[in-house]
Amino acid sequence: MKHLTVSLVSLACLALPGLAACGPKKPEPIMEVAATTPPPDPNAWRAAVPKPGPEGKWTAPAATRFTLSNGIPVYLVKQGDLPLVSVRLNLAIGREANPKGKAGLLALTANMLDEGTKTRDSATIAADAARLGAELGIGAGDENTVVSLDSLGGAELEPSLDLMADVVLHPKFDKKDFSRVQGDTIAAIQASATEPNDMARREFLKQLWGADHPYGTPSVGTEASVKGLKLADLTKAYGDWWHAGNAAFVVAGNIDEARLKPLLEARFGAWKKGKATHSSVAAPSVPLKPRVVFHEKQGAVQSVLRVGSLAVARNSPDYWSDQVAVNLFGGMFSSRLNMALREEKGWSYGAYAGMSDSRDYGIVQARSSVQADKTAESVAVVLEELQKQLAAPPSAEMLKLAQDSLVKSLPGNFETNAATAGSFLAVPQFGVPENAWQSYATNVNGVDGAATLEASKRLLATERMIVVVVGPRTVEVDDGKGGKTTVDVAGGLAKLGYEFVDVK
Amino acid sequence: MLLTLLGVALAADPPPSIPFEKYTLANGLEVILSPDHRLPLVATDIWYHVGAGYEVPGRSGFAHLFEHIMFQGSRNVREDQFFPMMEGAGATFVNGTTDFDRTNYLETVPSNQLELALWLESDRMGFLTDTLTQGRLDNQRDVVRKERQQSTENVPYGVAEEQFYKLLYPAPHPYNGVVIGSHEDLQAASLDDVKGFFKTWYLPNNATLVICGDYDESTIKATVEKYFGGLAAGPEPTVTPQMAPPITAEKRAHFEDNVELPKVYLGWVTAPVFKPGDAELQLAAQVLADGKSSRLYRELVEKQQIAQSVKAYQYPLTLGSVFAVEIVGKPGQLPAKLETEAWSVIEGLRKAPPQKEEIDRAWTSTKARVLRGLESIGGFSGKADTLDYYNHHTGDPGYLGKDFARYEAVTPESLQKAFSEAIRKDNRVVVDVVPKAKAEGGGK
Repeated sequence: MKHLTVSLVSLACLALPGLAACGPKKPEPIMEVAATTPPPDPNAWRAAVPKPGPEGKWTAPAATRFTLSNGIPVYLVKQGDLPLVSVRLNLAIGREANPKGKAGLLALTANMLDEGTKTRDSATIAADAARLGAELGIGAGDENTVVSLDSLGGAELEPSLDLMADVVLHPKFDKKDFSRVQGDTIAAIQASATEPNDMARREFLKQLWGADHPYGTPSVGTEASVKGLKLADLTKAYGDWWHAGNAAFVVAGNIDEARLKPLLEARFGAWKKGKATHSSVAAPSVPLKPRVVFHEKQGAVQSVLRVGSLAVARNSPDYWSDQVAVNLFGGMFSSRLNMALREEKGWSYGAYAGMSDSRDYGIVQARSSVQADKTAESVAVVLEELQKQLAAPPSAEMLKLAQDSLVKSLPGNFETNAATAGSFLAVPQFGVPENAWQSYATNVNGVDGAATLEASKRLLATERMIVVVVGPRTVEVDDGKGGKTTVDVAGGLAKLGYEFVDVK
Repeated sequence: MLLTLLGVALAADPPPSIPFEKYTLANGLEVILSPDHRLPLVATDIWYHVGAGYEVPGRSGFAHLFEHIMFQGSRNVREDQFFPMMEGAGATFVNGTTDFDRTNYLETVPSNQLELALWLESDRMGFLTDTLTQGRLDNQRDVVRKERQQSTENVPYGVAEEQFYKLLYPAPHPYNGVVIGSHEDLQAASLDDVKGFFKTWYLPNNATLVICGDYDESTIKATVEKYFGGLAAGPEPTVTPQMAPPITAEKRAHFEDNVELPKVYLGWVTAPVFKPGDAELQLAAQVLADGKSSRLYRELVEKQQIAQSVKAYQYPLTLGSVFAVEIVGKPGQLPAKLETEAWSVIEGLRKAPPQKEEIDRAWTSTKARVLRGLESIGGFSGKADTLDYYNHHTGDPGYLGKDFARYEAVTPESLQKAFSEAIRKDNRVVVDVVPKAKAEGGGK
């Protein structure tokens, strides 16, 4: 945007009769200024940005921990005065558990849970939840599976927990339901085959990890792998993975331990014990080398970009400096990435970068959708901005902005029960302490400019970046003379100076 | 207790209420204050009572383009400084949205930064056009065109959905098309258009400011007066409401698109927001398609297995709401089959009253959802937005209880009556989309 304003100013100058008006301003005689001072502007005070008031005293919540008799840990955060409770059952296994060739097994198994239990069919499960004002959800993520219950906190809580327990402990795995859900899953995968963001995500994972690595495929699996799954695979997976040894509860809301503990104990205290099955994840099966991977999406008006690489585990000592570095690069609206692609160039509606929290490896990733005829130029801008970030430590002002935006917004992580429960899933999932959020500010603010630069060099070097582009191979644009000209998108990407892979 | 709601037997409880105080400044700005001291956070939410439905033909997308410009600086807020200032202050929510009926601007900030939010909002309410240049307009127009590409053109079914709305609200109806407007109209907007729009609609006397959260109750009114009291009122905007013309014969459109699965849209223009029939249709949408116990899900997804997903909603609007049913088919399904089977389920609800139990659970789950929204002071469907919503449509920010009452008054018979009157074959819009390649091969 700035370049536009500047060019307009210079145009205005040229249009003026006397070019002198555009030269450096001569200081005006003091007397004259005094003589022509206009009446005081009643709004002049608005020029000053208001100073923040004293910061309110606030301490981030900590969870209290208790254990059910079969060893399931429960992390409780009591908060709020509405009669609402959010319960999360975390199952600490992810895609690494899927046997070779069976990508999607974990997710399909999870999705079968609310399709029917020994005593309720899927319609009854949904109707019971609705009648109780409860929301019951099951989500298979990349590294864990979460069963979530958002319940009213009064008398509805007990039957709502009954429903959750029924779904978790007594799934039916009916043959007919299985073939229907399997079909739905395959159709969903087919539908996403032409969705540009999904295409980019799949391609990025494959390029980063390798097609045969368990993390090289999204949790839903591939069309072929899901087609190959049998009901017996699911019942075995359920038996192997769904037990107390993999489970932990996180609960947030207007409830205390005295009430909660017996409710959970009565329903989950006898769940069979087992050994935690998570094993650490193997390194990518392909070497990490920079490349530009183009995946054609015919006729697309925008190209989807993903630029990223491996990051660090949530428990790594580098985690905090890496978070600050990534936030500086692309975590904020005012980060350099968005400023360059959206505000300066106007090629994108927005461009952001982030780092995922992970037990073993996070992923750092920049994403944007850009106008198709500027695809190669946009990738070049992303790479340039990365290089700029590696060249020097951030200004004190930008560093403070990046830290403040993380630290001062922290109370927002605990505004709702669902948000609080989600924040505290980090305790069982990553093994952070129950009071981890209380040291968050200290950790973020402890990162200085030098550490940020080190983190940028380690994490954001262009020689470790994988670029995935999903867009049209060529695109027609106005040539400015009333005709059309063809922009060779793929050709432009091939000339960026990186290894170029054309996925055909 | 913020909400006087007891746990047991929700249906019998007194409706929840959000405490608030409403008053009006001398310049006509409505102010609604609602204290909540749970966390050191405060939300501001300004609703300007103008939306895409107030645009003139040929200037579609104007209200939304304008919303973008509101973030680009004003007399004392330098260009590109709005977001950095908010981010540096630790804002947890900063956004603006444009709908057909209104435009809103929301911030949630640490409570010690309330004045920063009020300063930013008052500066753009009072002094936006001082620094508005052609360059800023051009740049934001580019950004909005990218947003249009990202939200409409580069998403499956996006173009068909736009056409769906065009058929429901034929031009020159102001709801014609999508809020984001057309490329041509966006391109045609001049700097004078933008300034004129601001002077007509963005007035203290056409806006409502809600502040909800952890503010100092003893000084808040003086603080509001300081920032907003000096802003000049403008001539009261006049609106000539133009209700959607009734659709008297079925309208259809067919698309072939770069999608994998066929999709059918069925749509009707229905009772405006808060008017008789609106609540009935809200619940009817849930009976039809909310969750795995809903009628369309059970019949089309579970039993016949011809659909991948089903959706139904009543989108409440001032000049005529939309009731829509959307069916995504399994690969290879013909739209005609999806349409026929969906219609037969719809006919079922037209011909016989639903079970009381179906209505009860639709309403209980809605109520619980509203409650969960009220956990937040700001953001979409948080407390501040809820107060603004009711104030905009009814003039009473505390309308929540009365809103609940109209749902509680719905009976199986009243639902069937409202539904069968509004949802007919002869007043519907049907849009279907089939995959491009398959359209060539299928030929049916």
